[in-house]
Amino acid sequence: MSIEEINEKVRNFLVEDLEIEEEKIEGGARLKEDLGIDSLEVVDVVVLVEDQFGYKMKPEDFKEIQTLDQFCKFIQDHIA
Amino acid sequence: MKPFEDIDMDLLLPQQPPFRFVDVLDSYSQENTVVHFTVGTGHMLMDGEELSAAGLLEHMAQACAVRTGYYTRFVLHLPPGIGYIGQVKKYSISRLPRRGEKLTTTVLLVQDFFNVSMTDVQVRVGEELIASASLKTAQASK
Repeated sequence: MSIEEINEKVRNFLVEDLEIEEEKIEGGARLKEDLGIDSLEVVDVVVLVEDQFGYKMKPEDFKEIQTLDQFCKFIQDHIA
Repeated sequence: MKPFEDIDMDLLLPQQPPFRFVDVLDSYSQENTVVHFTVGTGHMLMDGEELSAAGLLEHMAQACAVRTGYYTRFVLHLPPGIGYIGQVKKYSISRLPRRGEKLTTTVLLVQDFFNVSMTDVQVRVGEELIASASLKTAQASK
């Protein structure tokens, strides 16, 4: 899957499921500070990644992910 | 291991009557837990002869708490901690349960991550589905 396809799926999820304003969603946005993804919403993110990309995230995965770009790249690196 | 229905609810839930809305643990697994509650006299959150929508939601939250309480006490062998409702989505009620009706409530695990559980909860009277919701519950950090 291309990084553009991953970006599109993630963007749709952020807007439709987490109801994040579209204008806030850009690659350098930090998941917590800029997009407001808190510990409760992280669970939704984990479900998204498993359902849409087939990878089950682990708590330690989030240590290396700060921004949306890093998150999408992480998905690309971890899906078959 | 004791049959589930013999487990003292005091071991699984901190809430006490008249604010306890689960009577019995019917079955437990990580993915699927079933509890029962009979709407009786003297419970809080009654609205006349019916359990109110708030009471029904509290019942659903306590069903989730029983699942977590069982896991903590009987799988991890730790004292259960304090839990909170983090989020309620898709709360749907087709009718409120009446006094004397026995609720059978299923807690289906969607995802456990860190100390947050995302669950789908369904409440039935007999075969009739009367309510459902998606709940996130969180365990307080120790």
